[in-house]
This record gives sequence, C-alpha cells and structure tokens, in this order.
Amino acid sequence: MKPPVPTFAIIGHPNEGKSSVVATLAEDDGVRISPVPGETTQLERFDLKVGKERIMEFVDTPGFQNPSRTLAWFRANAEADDLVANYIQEHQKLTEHRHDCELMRPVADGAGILYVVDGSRPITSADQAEMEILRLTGKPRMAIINSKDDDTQFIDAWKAAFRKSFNAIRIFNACGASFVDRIDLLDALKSVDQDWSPGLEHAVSALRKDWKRREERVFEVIVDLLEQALNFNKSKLVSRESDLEMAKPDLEANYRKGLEAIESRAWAEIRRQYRHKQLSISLPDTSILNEDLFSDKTWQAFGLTGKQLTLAASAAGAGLGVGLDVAAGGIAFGIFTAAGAAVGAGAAILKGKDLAKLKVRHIPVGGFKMQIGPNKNPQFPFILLDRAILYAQHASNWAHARQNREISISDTSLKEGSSSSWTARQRGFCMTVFEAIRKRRFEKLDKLYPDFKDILAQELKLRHQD
Amino acid sequence: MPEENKQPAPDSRSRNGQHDETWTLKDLISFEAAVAKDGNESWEKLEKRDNAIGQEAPRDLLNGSRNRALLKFWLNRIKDEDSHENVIFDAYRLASKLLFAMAIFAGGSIALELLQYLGAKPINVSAFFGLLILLQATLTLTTFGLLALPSSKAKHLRLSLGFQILKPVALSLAGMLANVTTKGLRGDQRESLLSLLGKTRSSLFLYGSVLRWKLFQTLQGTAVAFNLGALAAILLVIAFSDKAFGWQTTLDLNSDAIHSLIRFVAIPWSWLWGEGLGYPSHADIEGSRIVLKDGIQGLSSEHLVSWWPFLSLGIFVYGLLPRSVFVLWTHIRLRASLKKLDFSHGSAQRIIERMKRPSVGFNSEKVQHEKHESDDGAVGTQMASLAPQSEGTTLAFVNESIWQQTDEGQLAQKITESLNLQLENLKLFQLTLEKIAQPNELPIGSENENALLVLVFESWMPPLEETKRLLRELRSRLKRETPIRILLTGKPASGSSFQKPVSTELEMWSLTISQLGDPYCLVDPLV
Repeated sequence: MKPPVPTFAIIGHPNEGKSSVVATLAEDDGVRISPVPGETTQLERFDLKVGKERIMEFVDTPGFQNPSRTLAWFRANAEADDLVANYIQEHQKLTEHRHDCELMRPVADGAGILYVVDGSRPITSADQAEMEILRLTGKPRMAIINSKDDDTQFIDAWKAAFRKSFNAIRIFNACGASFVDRIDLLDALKSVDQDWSPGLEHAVSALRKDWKRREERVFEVIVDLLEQALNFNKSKLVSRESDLEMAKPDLEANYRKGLEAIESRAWAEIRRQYRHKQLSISLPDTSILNEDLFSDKTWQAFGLTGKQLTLAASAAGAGLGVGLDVAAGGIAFGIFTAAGAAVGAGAAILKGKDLAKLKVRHIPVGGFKMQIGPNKNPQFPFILLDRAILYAQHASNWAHARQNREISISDTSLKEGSSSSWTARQRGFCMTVFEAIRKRRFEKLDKLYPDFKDILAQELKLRHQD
Repeated sequence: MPEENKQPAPDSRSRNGQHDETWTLKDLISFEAAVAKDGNESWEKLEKRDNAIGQEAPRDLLNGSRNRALLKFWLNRIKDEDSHENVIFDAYRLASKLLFAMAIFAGGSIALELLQYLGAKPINVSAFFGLLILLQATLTLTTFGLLALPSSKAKHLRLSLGFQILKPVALSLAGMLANVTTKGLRGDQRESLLSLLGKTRSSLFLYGSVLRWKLFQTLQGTAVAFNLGALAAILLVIAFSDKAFGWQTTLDLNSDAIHSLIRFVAIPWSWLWGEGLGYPSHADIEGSRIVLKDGIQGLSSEHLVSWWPFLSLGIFVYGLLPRSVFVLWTHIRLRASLKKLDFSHGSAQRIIERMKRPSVGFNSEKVQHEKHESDDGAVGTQMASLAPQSEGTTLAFVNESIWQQTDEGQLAQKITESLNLQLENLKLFQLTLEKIAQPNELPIGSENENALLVLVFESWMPPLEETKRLLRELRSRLKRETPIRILLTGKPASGSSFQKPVSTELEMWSLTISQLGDPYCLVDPLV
C-alpha cells in the first residue's frame, strides 16, 4: 500500500519568498510570485507529480497579517484542544484575520509546516511572534532560511532563534536551488516527524528515479538531434540552368531554417522534461546561444579548435580504426584530412559561414536538381552537441522560482563549449559516433551509445555540481 | 535648473503688503498635482529643492505659522520650475465649456420641439409649461430648500433611519464589488487600486466642501445654459415665425382653474407686467382652449398669441434667474471653502518641514541629550533646540525590535531631526507586541489630542493588517486632524543601526498607508 501523500504548508511573513519556495519545490513556474507583498491572498495547492502520480503537495499561503493578536489569542487559549481549528472558527468571519485563518487551514488539516524567512534581514518581534504561534500549534515544522540577497550577517541569529521552536532548520535558496538541494531538503524533512518518513521516502525515491529518467530522455533527445541534423539536406528542382543562381539563396535559407527547426524541437523537449513552461532561453543578441549555427562567433566559441580536431581525428582514425570521410564526395564544403597542414587550411575555411556545399546535378530527363547538405563538416556535430549540452544544463538547473524567464549568458561567461574540455580519446570516440550516425550504421551505434551516454551524463552531472 | 535660467522669486506680497494667501481651485489642483508628482521623486531631491525654496522665502513667512501663504509661495516657485500647464484644470475647463455648449443646445432643441407648429392646431402650452416651467420651479424650490437647510439638520438627515438602513447595505455592496474587482488583479495592481480609493477618500475629506461647491456650481451653470438655450429658442421662434398657442385637457378643468393657476405662477412678475401682458387673461385662456370636436376655427388670433410672454417669463423667473443666483451663491461658498483650507494635512506639512529644515550640513552640530525614565515608562529626552517647527507634545512609539537594538538618545535625536521637532517635549515609548495587539493600552487620551504622534517601524517589514488596525485605532482616539507620522528605518548595516530605507520599501509603505484614506497620516524615512 502506498503511503499517504505528504502535504506541506509554506507559511511565513508577507514577502519572504514563500511562493518562490513553492515554485521551486513543486517545479512549477506558474506560481504567481511578486516583489510586492500580498500577492498570495488565498490558499493555492501545488502537486509535485512523477508521471501522473502525486507524490507531494505544497500549499502556498498568504502571509501573517496579525501576528501580535494571533499570538495573544493562542497564548490565552493554549490549554484548549484543537487550538488551530478553534482559532479559525473564532476568527474566520473577521475580515482583518482573513489571511491568518487562510494560512492556518492546511495546518488544521494536518499539513506539515515549512516556515519560510528571508535570512538576509534581521529578526523582528513580529517574526518571534510567528515562531511562537507555530510552536503553540504543536505541529511538526521546519524552518527554511531563504535569503533574498547575499547578506549573511543575520543567518546565525536566525538559526539561534529557530533552535528554540523548530524541529529542523534548512538554508534553501529558492531561486538558486538545484535538484540536489531539493532532494536534500526533502530528506531533511524526514527527521522532523517520523510519521512523514514513509511518504517522504517514497517521494524522494520517485523523484530520483524521475530525474534519472529525465537524463535518459535528454540523452535520447540529443542523439535524435544529431541523427536528424547530420543527415539533413534540402533539394530543389530547377528547369533551366540560368535559374540556378536565383534559386540558391532560397535553398540555403530553407536549409538553415530546417536545421534551426530541428534544434528548436530538441530544445523544447529538453525544456519540457525539466517542466519549464514559461522559460524561454532567448538570450541577448550578443550571446552565443542566439548566434545561429552559421555565424563566426559560434564557430569560435563552440566545437573544437583545429588542433583539438586533429587530435580527435587521429584518435578516431588510429585508435578506433575509423577513417574520416575527407571531402564527402564533393558534397560537403568542409575539407578535412589528418594531415596537419591540411587541417590548418580546413580550419581557416571553417571560420567562414558556409557549412554545407551546394551540389547541382543534371537530371537526364531535363532540368537540374540542386541539393544542399547533409553537412559533412567535422566541427558541425561538436557545435550541435555543445549547444545542446549547454541548453540542458541551464534547463535542468534553472529554479522554477526565478522570475527572469530568460537565461542570459554573456559572451564572456562562456568562452568554449563542453567538448573542448574532453580528452582527445573522448573526442575521437565522439567523432566515431558522428561518423556512424552519418553513415546510418545503426548496429554499430547501438554499441557506441552506452559510452557516448556516459560522456554526456558525466558532462551534465559535472555542471550540476558546479 | 541652471542658475542663469532661474526666474526671480515671485513677490509673495500682495498690494497691501500682506503675503499672498489666496488659493483658487486652479491653485489647489496644481498643488495636489505637484504633490502627486513628488511621489515619484527621490527624497533627497525633494529635500534639496524645498530647502532651497525655503531659503528664498521671506523670513517672517518661514518662521510664522501661516501655512497658506508659505505653501502659496512654494507653489509659485514650483510652477516657475515646472512650466507644464495644469492639465487637469485645463481639461476641467474644456469639459465645462463643452457641457455649457451642450446644455444650450439641449435647451434650445427641447424648446423648439415643444414649439413645433404645423398649422393644423395651436401649440399645446401644457407640455411646455409642465416641462420647462413647472418642473424647473419644483427643482429650484428643492435646491433652495436643501441649501437653506441648516447643517445640523442635514446631519440629522444623514443619520435618519432610512440612511442607517441603507448605509450597511451600500457598504456591503461596495465591499463585494471591491472583492470581485480586485480578485483577478495582481498583488501590485490590487494594492494600487486600494491606494487610489484611499487617496480619493483623503481628498474628499480635505477638499470635500470645495469639490461639492464646485460640482454644484458646474451643475447650476449647466442649468443656466439650458435655460438660455430654451429662452433664446422661444424668443427667436416668436420673432421670426407666426405661432399659435392653446391648451387642452381631458380632465374636468375649466378655464377658471387654469386662470387661477396661471395667475399664481405669474405672481413674481405680475407687479410689472400684469394680466393680459405678463400672463394671459381669463378671456385669453378661455379663447385659446382647444376642444377637439370644435376644431380651431372658432379661436381668435389675439387669444392664441397671448401665451408667449407668460412662457418666456416663466423660463426666465423659474429657470434662468434662480440658477444664476445659485451660480453666484456657490461662487461665494466656493471661495469661502477655499479660504477655510488650512493645509495642516500630512503632505502639506511635509513640504513645510522640508522648507524649514536647516540646510544640509546642519547635522554636524553637537547635540546634547540626557535621558530620564518617567512614571509611565516613557523615556524623555532633552536636547538642544533645532529651530523646531512644532512646539506641541510629540509622542513617539518605537517598534519593539528597533527599541531593543538602538540607543534611545540616538533614536530621539533621529526622530527630532527627521521631523524638525522640539526635543524637550518628545516622549519615547516602546511599542511592544502586546500594545500592538491591544492598542487601547497605549497612553493616548484626550489630553494628547493635539500632540504629534510618531510611529517608528522597520522599512523592510511590509506593513501588516494589524499595522493598519493600530493606526485606525489611534485615529479613533485622536482628533481627525492630529498628525500621525510613520518613520521608517532601513535594514541595519554593520556599524550603524540607522540606515536609509530602500526607496521601494518606502513606496510600499506609502502605498499601504494611503489605503487608510487618512490625509494626516504620512510615511517618511527616519534618516
């Protein structure tokens, strides 16, 4: 039998970041968060689901509005049974106490208390009143210090104050929390009340499994992206030779659009895996991710340098016995050989915007067939891969409470893609994978993918730890 | 503004050597617009600006207590610096002119419609008389009755049983409407809407009388225009066309009754233009009666034209004349209301404080203070005088956590510096949680009715419902005009307990407190 779904009420003073904590814990960027106090005026319930299964429930509540009077009432009635329910019953018709009654409702219904404070400010008498009220409820509770800014001078005072009335204390930055931070918080909740343990055990285990599943899915999405992009081409039939030049720009534009669409679909799926409905990774114009695949800037920032590529090719060729398709039958523009001098020449050419060479074939029955792609450039898959990794890293690490829905990565913050930090052997292995993808050697790919997945998983994990 | 572009300070004295204390509605609107505009400026900038204006103000004005004259001086200087037209007032004037034109048109159109004559039968004067004379006379008498009602009677009327029944219904309906309206709004939109309602209540409290008279004057002016239109229409119709007037009724009324009624209505002008001239004679009335079965062939022209002087004079006496008198009367009352404004409310006082505050650099003055515990637990602080603005008692309630973490002497110094107060009379009290929960335990009574009340809170803690309740409770125990000032201190930094509040925090507090609709309650930074 499944344990009951643990429910937690997020309680606190107005404008302390309660909704932010809920958004991050429930992975829901639809939670209304505002810098102005009083955004939340009614209870709002948010389910944390794995698939269709509800594994936890978080209740966002309005802030305390009458801590002094509420405390006075609690103290005066401390001996009474069912204190919280009595408080609600006695005050629910008073407009002034509407928020206080509302925030007490989930507590009366048995929800655990997560008391959220902004640790970057000093403690006031109102905070002490709220802590005392929650102590008097007698319900299991944890204090969450959610610092809104970097000021840490008051954290120790908060901790000291919480030790008197809370079963557990946790520092949790709602806007910067990663998956690991969230799991740690949920793990810590187990110690607050033994009764919560089974439900939380189940929830944590389900979350871990789900995270693993997401990583698997992201890997599949990236592989799918590579398979589609590396074999992508566009063609057009033209009746007269004189029309060839005129048709060329359209064909190039279509090819470019097609590649962008493939990449956009992959990114949308990555975003969906990490439950970002409103996040849009639209970066400033100068940012690398906003540069298209064909820009000089992208070439310089992603993929490998000429030297790295040479070493990778050597590893691929010598170590794995796979040769490079040098000129790709005249279709691909990128000219690449294992020879150093030729690589130098190739790298110079690669800095240009042309990626895929246009091929024109005369059709015996009349007319011409123009075709652009597939792209045979050895840099190209590394660029795609680096961009996808970067995207996945941000999507997985972006806390749902963050109000800026646009990730901004300045050019200076990212000088090079992930692949440039890999070993020559790893890169060489990747080139083997890319080659197999290009040649559609699926049996071989089935053997290569486990190791390829390890490389990507390692990269994503490394960035998590960062 | 660059020094070379500065206009010379306007002469604040009128011809008889007195300072200009005259406030017009335009001035008032300009003043409120300037105060509202100041809400978007930084405190430092306003402090500097008003301090500079204060330096330019005549000494006797600055050191006196004539708020009207001092603020008029301030307003004139602000107008010099901000050459923008008074958009609100101009819009109002344009709307008034449009309304006036529309009223003339409406009056003329209605009169013309009622005077339509196709030759088949005479114009029935009943409709014209009923609508443009009898109805107007009734409205005029009602208006006069309301104006003549003593204010105590008017109050009694408000407190009447009917009003008492209607008030809670209206309030609950308004509350429901507010709930429905604000439900779909974001938090900041909701707060802004509530603030707007509060500010409207504040304005109505301060300028209710002015606004009431201005509205009344506008209405009466519109009525004058309406009657002018109607009168012009009838005179033009009479002058340039041949009209026949008659009367008819289904009721069992004979011409004697009609004659009596007409004679009664014409009493105001009958001494000048009597029967047959100012109003129809009995024979005219008898001779202009339209009986359907008889047709109009038997009616004589002399009788049929005898009505128009009566109709014209009726409009003049029962419409145009009283409405014109009301316009003049409301003009006098409006001026009287403007004269009564004392500008003692919070936002006006804040400007005066800024004008009077010693200029920047004053803080270097060495201030001596000593503390003593009084019987009621208050800490009295005596300090060197800082050219104080207020000479009355000041009661300062300091929130518990600030009280515990700061030195009372320093606190007193900051409060007095902030509000430019006299220190001898400052009493500090700790505002504990218990006192917030039970504000009736605060040492405030009728003896403090004229005191200045100061509350010191942390700016980074948003104002709560219980903060508003505390203020409402305090107001209920004080006079409506007793100033309440909320001073905010920013998040303490290492080395100093007193920090400037962040501007967004100040705005948040101001927004919330303005929702109370209390024009004598203001939010300011402590430092």
